[in-house]
Amino acid sequence: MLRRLLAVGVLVALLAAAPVWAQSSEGLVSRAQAEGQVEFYANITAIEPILEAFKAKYGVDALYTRMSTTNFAPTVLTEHQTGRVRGSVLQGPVPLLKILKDAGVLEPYRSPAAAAYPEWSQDPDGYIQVFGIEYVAIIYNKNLVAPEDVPTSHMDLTDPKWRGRIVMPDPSGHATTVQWLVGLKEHNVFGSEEAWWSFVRGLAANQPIFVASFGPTPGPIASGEALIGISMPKYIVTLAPAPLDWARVKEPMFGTTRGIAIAAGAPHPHAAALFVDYWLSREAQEILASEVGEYVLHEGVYPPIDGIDQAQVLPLRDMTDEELEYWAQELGRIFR
Amino acid sequence: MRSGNWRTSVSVGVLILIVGGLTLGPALMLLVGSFSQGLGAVGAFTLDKYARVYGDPRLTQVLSNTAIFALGSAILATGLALTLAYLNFRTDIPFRSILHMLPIVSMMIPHLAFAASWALLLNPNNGMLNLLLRQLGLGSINVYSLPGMVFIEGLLDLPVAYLVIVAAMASFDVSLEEASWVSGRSRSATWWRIVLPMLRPAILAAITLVMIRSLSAFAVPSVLGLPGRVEVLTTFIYRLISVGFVPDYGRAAAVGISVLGVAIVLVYLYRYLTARSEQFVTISGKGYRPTVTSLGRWRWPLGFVVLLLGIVLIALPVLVLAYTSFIPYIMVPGAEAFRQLTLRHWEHVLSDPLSLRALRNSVLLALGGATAGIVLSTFASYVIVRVRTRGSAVLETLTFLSYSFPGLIIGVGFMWLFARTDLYGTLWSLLIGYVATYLPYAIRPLTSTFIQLSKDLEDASAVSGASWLRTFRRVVLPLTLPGILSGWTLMVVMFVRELDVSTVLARPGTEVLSVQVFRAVSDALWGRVAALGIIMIAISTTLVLLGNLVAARFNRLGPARR
Amino acid sequence: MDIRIRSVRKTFRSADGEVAALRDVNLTVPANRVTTLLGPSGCGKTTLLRCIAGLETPDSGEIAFGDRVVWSGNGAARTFVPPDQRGIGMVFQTYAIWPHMTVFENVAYPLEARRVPREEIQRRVLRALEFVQLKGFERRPATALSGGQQQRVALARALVSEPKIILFDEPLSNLDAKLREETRRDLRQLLTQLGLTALYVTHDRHEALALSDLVVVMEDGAIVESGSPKDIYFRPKSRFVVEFLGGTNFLEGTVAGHEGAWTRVRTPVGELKCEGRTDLAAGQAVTVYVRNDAISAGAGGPQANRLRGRVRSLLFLGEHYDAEVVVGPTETILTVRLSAGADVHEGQELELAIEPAGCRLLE
Repeated sequence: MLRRLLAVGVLVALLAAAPVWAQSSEGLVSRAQAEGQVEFYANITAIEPILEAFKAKYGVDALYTRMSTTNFAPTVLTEHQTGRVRGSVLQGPVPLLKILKDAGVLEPYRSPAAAAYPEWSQDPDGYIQVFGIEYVAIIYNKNLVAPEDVPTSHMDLTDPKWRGRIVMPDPSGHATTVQWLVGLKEHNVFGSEEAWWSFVRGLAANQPIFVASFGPTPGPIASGEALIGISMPKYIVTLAPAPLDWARVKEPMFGTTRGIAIAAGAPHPHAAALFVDYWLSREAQEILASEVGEYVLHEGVYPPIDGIDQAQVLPLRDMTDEELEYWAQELGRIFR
Repeated sequence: MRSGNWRTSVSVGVLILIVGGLTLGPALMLLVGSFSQGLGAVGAFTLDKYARVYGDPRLTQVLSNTAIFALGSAILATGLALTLAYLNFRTDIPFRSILHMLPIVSMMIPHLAFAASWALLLNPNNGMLNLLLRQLGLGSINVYSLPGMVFIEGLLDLPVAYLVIVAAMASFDVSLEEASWVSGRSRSATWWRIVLPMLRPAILAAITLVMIRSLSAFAVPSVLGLPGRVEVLTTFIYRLISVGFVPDYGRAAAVGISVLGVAIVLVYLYRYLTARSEQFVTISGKGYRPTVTSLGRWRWPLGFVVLLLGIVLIALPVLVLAYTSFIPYIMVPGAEAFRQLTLRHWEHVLSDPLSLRALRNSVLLALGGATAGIVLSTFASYVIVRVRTRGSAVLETLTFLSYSFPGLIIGVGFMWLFARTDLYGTLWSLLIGYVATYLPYAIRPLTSTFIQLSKDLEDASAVSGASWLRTFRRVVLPLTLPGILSGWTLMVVMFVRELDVSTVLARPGTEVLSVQVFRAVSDALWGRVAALGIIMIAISTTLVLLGNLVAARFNRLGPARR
Repeated sequence: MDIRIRSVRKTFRSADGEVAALRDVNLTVPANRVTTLLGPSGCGKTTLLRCIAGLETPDSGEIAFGDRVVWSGNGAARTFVPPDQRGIGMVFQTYAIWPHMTVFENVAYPLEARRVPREEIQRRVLRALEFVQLKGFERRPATALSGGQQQRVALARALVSEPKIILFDEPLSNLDAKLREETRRDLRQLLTQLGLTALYVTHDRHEALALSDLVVVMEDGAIVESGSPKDIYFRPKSRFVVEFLGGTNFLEGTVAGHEGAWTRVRTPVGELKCEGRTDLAAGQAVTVYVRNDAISAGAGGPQANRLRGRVRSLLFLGEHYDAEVVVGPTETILTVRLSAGADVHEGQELELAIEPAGCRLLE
């Protein structure tokens, strides 16, 4: 109840005097410090520098538990069912957080730092703040692929010259890839639905090397087992000096949205609020972009990848699990 | 103590309670979950999850792939283990100490890293070995195939089979073999007619264990099966839980239940086939002198062939791992790779406080878990072998429960359970989960050892006035030390590498190495994976050597054993 | 201390069905004597021994050491004294020497189990080892001994705690012939000297006759006959015992009549003068059994029961020959013991004489 009052208080304060809240209030900092630590359940990886910076700045420990998508919801839901909530701040794909919100296990919180984010990234109910896009791109080995061979359109992936040399997550089992493929259709990237189908069939005909998720995609491209793949530009940053580059296709790039929220019944609610404030700050987002190569929504912050600031990166629509399952089956039929 | 002794019944009862308490919890949670509506463990009754999973048209293909995969890798692993164990323990083959270590090494490597190493060596596009083979004009091998998966999984499960068989081989009366030679049978005929049948309990134990293990293996099917479009039950389950944002573990459990069913059938089959275990008694208290037979002129050639095979099969992937830990990104070895050699993965791993804490936790869990596990397993397998009642059959089945569930879902079973207790988020929850899941690793080698221990040796102690406990301590324990050591080793090595339970239960403060490895895998940081993998191998090796040392001290008066 | 066995039954159940190992066995093993359980393998003798040791539990019945009931399966009052509290010694067929202990540790074990002080253990173990002539072997690993030595370690271990009852499960069956004979002699002497209640299981009739004060013959889970070695040997009551003790010729016949102290019997080899059995009427069918040492060859020997025959086969055994001799028109084969110095060859015609006292009758 206290937490809810606090959250409402913050909300009211925010609405009343938004500009004053550019920085977290002294009161929040001292309460967070009294709590001493914040538990961070996150899907995003390699974010230790942000946690260290947070600790250095506020003296509050941020304890990170990496939650794979497959463990995330069961863990958080079970913790709430049994009253043993261990995660204070939750970060994950927005559809996942929405399910948690609908299950009533999130606490509403509007961070003052959210002002620096686009309008569409803010949850009208004030539970989830979208801060980044898990952007997907065509990544290739710049040592092995001649500049004239680099695709200029997604459709180029259907060229038979790539047969057996494309790596991508299994489209019948990997949610983001399903969303991405369906997203290309829904954003009418190829001009017509028929063209999209011929893209999908052409890609399947090229016998891509399937892997379980994006994690294993850059390895084969870097080693030369594959020449090109459907992967993520962030690996250009995290795996440097691997010879990776992204294909500057004429169509926009797409990605699923990443969000952050506070758990209802969080063991350390003030530290959680302070952490979310910090996470959304320019300082943290710059670390995220520069060290992890993430595409973030904070205005003016870009990952250090050549040309990304010029690229159009669009969020994909959230899909329900039923839709995902339907499309995974459909695509599975074509690709297998 | 066959019957009529209340002490026996009580001890069987107590063991059933302990083992059941450990393994029944998560299994029941999963069972309930598979019949429940909604996403948690408990909900309204439904058969819908079964209907949807078993109605999938791809299931037939998946099941036949799974059967070939599990059976093939079990036969391969057991065959290799038998050959190696025989050469190591019964012949004068050279390089024995290396040959003895080799099979254990492949167990210490994180399976994901081992499979990835092989993909690097044998992928059809630019696998290093394939490049070599093509240069020699020998074509190439595609590891992304069902035979490739069987081969790699067989290698990964070799140590399990090896340690089970070694425990039996070490206490095998050589005069049984000699009797056959004298009867005019050749060495190879003796092998088929005497050695194999005599080792039947151990061989069946190994096959059972490996089959169940590969039924629930995920690393190889995911790394090698996905690119090859070969789907087995675990990858099928993975697809069920990975395609949506809210994985329905109830449905995954519905599939897991049939794996469990197969496992239980296997256990009963094994019990039935070894029911006349008295036939196999070989440590008899008379002429117990395991001696070594001479290979004659085959000694050196055979030694080199086996060593070479061992190096190719096991040391090579480790070398790939070591190499990967020193290069910035995965590339084919050459001048370019040499120019870019770097220590950065090692620097990161060794300076990261999280990795260091994970290292400490892993060592703690491995030592504590394996020791607790082996104590429980020793009593349990003694009862399983010596008291062949319905109760002991129940006990044996219970020990397999958690182990038989595919690793992908057993962790969630434990989480559903532990989240209802104060153990949630503590190292204890990991320890209990580890012991419960991997009990068969200690129970199998121990039961095959107990089967071979002549009951006379215990009877002689009992009529000498020794209580059951004293008999156990003074006679049974020292004589079964090889089996105990095998079980302990398997558990230690397994616990250092354990991922299935850890990835769901580890929390800040209770991180373990394997979870760190898995994070590095999901970030595609293979250099870090490799460095952590090497550290895990080093820890496992140290702990195993330590265990051997302690056992050797404890058993310094014991019979000659290597 | 005697061992009283009352109505003991034991059935083994296996996948192949039920096997009655002991069918209502009643026996009193006399105190301070050597008793042998003799019988072919599978007759239940070892099961009975193991029931007495407590290593096996009968299905029903009662076993008592003196007045102390160690097993009772009758009614509600079930008693089971575990083997370690029965205060016995036992020598196993396999010796069951613990391979991970030295000779000293093996022998000291029963004393340690009974919490005897260390100095006394030292003293008693050495005495026991001296007793079995293994002095100086204390530090040897048990597996570095010969079979005979291992057997003696097993004996020392069984004796060291000075039990009132000692059990032997075919302890000599794994020794070579010479060692077996020697050990048999030593054992007899030792057991007489110690005056323990000893129960000895064997399938070797020589061992049974040589060692025991009382021989108990078992067949198919039941006791067939018991008595002193001489009674069992000379006055067995069943064909099974006669056959089991061996070296016997059987002739089917009918009683012809009585002649003084003798009985005349018509057999396929002619009419024989046999032991006097006035209880048998003329015309009754009987079996005549003749041990091969009751038949002599050559002109000497008794005047009665003289036969002619031809040597069919000869077996030279060192101290004597075992010859198969074909006798009479029915070509009946008798096995005959001939002296080692005799000048015989196969096919030779022989004159035989059967000691009338050696022709024994069974109904």
